[in-house]
Amino acid sequence: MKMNTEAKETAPDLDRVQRWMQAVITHPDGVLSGADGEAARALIDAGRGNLESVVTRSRSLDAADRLAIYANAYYARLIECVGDVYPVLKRILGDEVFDSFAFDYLQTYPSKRYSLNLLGDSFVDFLRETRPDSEDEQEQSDWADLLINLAILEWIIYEVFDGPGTEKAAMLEMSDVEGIEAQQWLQIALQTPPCLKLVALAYPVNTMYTAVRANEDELEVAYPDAVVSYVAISRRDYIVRRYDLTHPQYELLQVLQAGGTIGAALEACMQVVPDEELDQLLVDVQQWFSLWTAERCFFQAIR
Amino acid sequence: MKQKQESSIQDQSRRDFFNKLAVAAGGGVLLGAAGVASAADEEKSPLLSGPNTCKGLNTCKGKGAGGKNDCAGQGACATAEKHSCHGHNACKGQGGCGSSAGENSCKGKGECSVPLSKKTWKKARRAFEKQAKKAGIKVGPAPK
Repeated sequence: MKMNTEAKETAPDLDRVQRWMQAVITHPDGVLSGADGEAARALIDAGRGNLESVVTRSRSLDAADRLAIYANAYYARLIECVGDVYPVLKRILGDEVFDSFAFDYLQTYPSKRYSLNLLGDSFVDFLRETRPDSEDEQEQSDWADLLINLAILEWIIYEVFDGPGTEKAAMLEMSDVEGIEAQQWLQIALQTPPCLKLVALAYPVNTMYTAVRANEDELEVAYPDAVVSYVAISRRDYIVRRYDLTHPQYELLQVLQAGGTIGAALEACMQVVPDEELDQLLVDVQQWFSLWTAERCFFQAIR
Repeated sequence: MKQKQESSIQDQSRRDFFNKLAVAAGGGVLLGAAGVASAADEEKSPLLSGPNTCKGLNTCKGKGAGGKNDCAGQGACATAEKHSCHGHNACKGQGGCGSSAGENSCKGKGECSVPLSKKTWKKARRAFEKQAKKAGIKVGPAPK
């Protein structure tokens, strides 16, 4: 009874213990280093030799082992979260290599937000920052760039998946565009939804992504050469949709997305179409706008 | 004078072409909008089965990639999933990542070196080469 009273008098408050435990279990070098670390000692001055003054031992585990369960679980869960965001990259690299990247990433960009949804938002930056240097310029755009480009695509897909979509929004309908005179179309702006993302990539990773996703059992992917590719990513009916774009399509959609008129968008598009293909452009443009409207890429027509 | 005339003709034909393009774009919008209206009538868009309608990303287990995903756009999918595993496996991480550098306790015991990233990129290169070899792709030399 006396001991209990003494313990009560000297025990740190719960808030302090919680923050101490967080400092200990999130330390990248493990529980013992965590307990010795400045952050933990500033809260409760119990180094590795005095852990059991805070956490009692069980019949089979001492205090450090008990804390290590939570330390390992903490990183295991976060690494799993990062892997959920980059499933194709993880499959290509294999679990062990990917988890190494993820663990390292978490040291540079630790989880600091209440939601885990944004945990992977700096992973592309991390890969860029740590990618191997090469003196050979040819090598600069090699396999590491391929993996980084794949990560860029996967993060966008995740953002589109998790963000606002077009499901509850009123999209462009016939009544919005009926009665627009032929000569007025140049001045019309077509508003795009926030879930529409456009990206230019150094490799055709969208094709690669599809191939990996389509083949659940065995991974056999042809690694593409470096060729600039353009992709639009959007969401409809709660499903993320990816569209390979040509360069003219990409230029056109970029202007529309920025709020430009159809005239300005066509101008940008024509800049990248060779003269001999301009006649074909007349046919193509109609098909593109028809598809994009049907695919709910436009909210409304602004006159 | 002749040059000015030619330039004016070019301007005129460019304007004409541009107008045609805009009309084509407008025609496309009308066609697409008509398609949306008829799809709404039929409650099924023919474009849903087109080549561009790729599989959705679905991080929620148990939901098919082609199916409707109720947690998309709710900003809570990953969080909910991770929270739900708390109750299922309180000991996750205890031995679960033994051979992985993701096990933080291996640091300081000589199994992992700091910084890890250089080492990991090397491992990544090996994994990449292995996959490429399997697919019959020749990979260039690794950066030094």
